[in-house]
Amino acid sequence: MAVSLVKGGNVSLTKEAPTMTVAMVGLGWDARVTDGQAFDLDASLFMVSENDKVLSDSHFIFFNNKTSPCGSVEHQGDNLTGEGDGDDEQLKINLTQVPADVKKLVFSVTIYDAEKRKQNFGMVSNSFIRIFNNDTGVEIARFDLSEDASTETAMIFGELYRHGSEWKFKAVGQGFAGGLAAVAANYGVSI
Amino acid sequence: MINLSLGANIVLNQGVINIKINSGLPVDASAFRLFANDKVKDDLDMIFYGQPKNQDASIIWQQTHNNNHEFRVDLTKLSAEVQKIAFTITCDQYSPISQLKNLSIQLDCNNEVIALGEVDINNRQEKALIMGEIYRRNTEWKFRFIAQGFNGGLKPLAEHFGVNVIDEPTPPVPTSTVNNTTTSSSVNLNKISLSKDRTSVSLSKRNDYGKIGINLNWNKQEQPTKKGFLSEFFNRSPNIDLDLAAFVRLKDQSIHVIQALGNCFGSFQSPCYVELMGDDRTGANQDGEWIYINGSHWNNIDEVLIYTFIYEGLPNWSQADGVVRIHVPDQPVIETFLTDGNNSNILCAIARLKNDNGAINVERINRYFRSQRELDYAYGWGFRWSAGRK
Repeated sequence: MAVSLVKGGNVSLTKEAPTMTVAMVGLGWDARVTDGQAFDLDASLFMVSENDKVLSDSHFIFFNNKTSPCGSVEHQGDNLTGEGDGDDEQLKINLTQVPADVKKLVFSVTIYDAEKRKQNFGMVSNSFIRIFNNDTGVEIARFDLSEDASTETAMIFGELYRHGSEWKFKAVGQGFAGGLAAVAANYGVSI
Repeated sequence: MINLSLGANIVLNQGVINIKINSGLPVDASAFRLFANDKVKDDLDMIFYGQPKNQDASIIWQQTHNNNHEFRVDLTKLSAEVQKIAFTITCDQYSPISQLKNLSIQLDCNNEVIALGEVDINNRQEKALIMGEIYRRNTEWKFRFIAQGFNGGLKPLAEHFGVNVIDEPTPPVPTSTVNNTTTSSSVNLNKISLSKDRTSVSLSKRNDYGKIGINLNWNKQEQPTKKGFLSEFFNRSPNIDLDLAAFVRLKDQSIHVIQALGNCFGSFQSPCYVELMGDDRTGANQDGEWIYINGSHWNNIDEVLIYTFIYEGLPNWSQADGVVRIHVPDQPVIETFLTDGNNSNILCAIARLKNDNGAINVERINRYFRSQRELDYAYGWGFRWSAGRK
């Protein structure tokens, strides 16, 4: 059973998932059954340094840049409609290979073209984002976007950050106006 | 009160919720009671004009006005298997959604508005919309404002909820309709609207048509809850009293007037086999007025001409917003709206049911007259008239 997180709640991975070497972030939603434009949700990741900015633009992992320069983070592919069961998009993070100057991995979820398509998470059925231990499949944290971020179009899901020698996960759950471009700009990506 | 944006949800703490759908122009509203996989189980899970109440009275539909529908939902009566109730609208006369004047869904509890969701109808191409849904979330009931739908209208909407729609064009053949005894899971969702474009429909010949109900419903003005005893002197009552009435000609050529005025209520069991049920003077009766025709004796009836007149109140047809529905057992409801009324005329000839070699031919008239006498002359019935008061 996953820990149901409130905003800002911390999970120590050494306690929750002591053996975890590979973390997986899964994003899922149901394909649209009503008429209108498809719901296209995107999971992205920012590898940031001490000052909360990306090390470089190529440390912004998203649908057009699927692998980090170091190879520790891999975007498993962009799903445009939500077709299929379970996770529709996944980001795989090999924690042992994350370079030392990366202090934080920040995960975001955004709706592609939300403004133009007049969409928000609440209009998407069963949308969620979760992080789990890829070695065991055990879920660490989860946000039900349809329920708890219903009027948002972009959200910072949470961050994996270094705390001494261990990794911790912090749920952020903070909405963001302006879509992926605004989120990226916030973490110092040149758009 | 909370203004809901699209997709937003709220927790419902109340046991009984009134869901109001307002549309500015006439639409049809339905509620679907949904189980696992968001599907209905059987016909009883659809609540609409053809089935205003389900077996456990957990959902009750009423039309408070042509453009206003209301569903009373008692969450405490819902069985544990029910996962969701979806509230939907379909456009028929004014279609697609963008043709409506406005569209909203409102949640009331104890006469207090809890939440309101207003649909931005601009450029919306759907003909059927899921307005919102009540759903279980953990141990709570919640409501979500959805406003998503189907350009194809009622059929894809109903199929989405697991209802098989009979693709029969009108006029219909007697098939399974919404009926508590039917075992079929197919629901005949057809309703025949008589309008300027389609003025008549013939119901296929049968030996026994059963109890034919003709219902008149009109805009029920909200009564102020508190009223000083002098207010009657200062304010003319805004209430309109519409009377439903009929001329009946039997096969033996005898002619009869059925109307509350003059206490001519008729008789269902004996000639002329047409009876007016009570008289709704106040408009408080949400069900409106009913005339029943004894369809078992249709072979004795030559013609029934249905009309309505304003007995009291301002002659304002658009404000009255009347709708007449003809219910023949096992047949789709036939409805016609009292539109285009000239306000100087207090009487509207609505429709006539003629015996056409044993079949029933329903013809929309929608002509307005100053009096019964004028109507009589216009259609050549030959009554003798004197002034009356009920």
